[in-house]
Amino acid sequence: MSVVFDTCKEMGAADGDVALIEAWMHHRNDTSGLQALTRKGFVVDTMEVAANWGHLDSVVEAVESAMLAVPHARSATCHLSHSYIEGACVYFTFAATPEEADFESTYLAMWKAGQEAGLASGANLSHHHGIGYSRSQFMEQALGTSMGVLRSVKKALDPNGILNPGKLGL
Amino acid sequence: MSIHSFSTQAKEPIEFGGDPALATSHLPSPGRALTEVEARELGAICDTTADAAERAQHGRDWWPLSLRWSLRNEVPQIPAVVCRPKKRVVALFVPEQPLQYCVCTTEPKANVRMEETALNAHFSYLTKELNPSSTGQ
Repeated sequence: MSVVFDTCKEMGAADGDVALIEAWMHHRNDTSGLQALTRKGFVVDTMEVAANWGHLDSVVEAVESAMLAVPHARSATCHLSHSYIEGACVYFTFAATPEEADFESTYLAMWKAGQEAGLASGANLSHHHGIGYSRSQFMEQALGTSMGVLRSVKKALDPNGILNPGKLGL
Repeated sequence: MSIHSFSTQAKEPIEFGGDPALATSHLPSPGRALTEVEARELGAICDTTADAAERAQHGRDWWPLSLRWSLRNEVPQIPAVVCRPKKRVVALFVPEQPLQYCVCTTEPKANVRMEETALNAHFSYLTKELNPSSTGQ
């Protein structure tokens, strides 16, 4: 943290009100604010991916641009949530205000735009939220020919397909 | 308030758009309803309810799309029953494949809380309790 502090200072950052940080820390994991936005008709969600440092700039630019190009999109922002020697997790927050009839299609379109742009610009499919069902459609693009290896392993270990069917695109 | 403090107070989930007992599944279910015999067997093992409102409560989650569905009185999928095993390990059998099973337990393990278990009939048919030592868990 001292490195971060010194670097920020060197770049002109100023000391802020610690109370603001404490207030943020107190409710930073409270996701119930999504409810108010949902009632107002906002499409809102987050999408996290990881990439090497050399790819991060292009990943952020590509993902934000792709999301904002979706009809009804209002915002697509990013913060760096985890950092490592090799790279980092970039965590996108996006929102849109479609008509009721377009709510679900807008949500899915922003996810698809963001994921495909991220994969094409050097990011992986997920940093820590996992794949589940909704991201399974991108597994082929993410893994390429390795997807066949994964299918073979799953088939060998779970010949009747009873373990998490459908997850990971398997 | 310390800089390391944070709230652990659970928040109420978003409201249903109507009577929870009348809520419907948004996603198609590949399963089937439990038979009366199956439901009775479950009830003999642990506290089990088929109350419509309670099943709807256990069918919801925090996925942003499903918040919207909740306002339309929908949940992702409504389980067939809600079971509350207390202490012992139980076996969840796949109906058409009775020799294969998954195991859940209420014992503290890997941060998974299994005091309440929503069962979808297509996957989970709880038939009997097992000795934990026989599960390899």
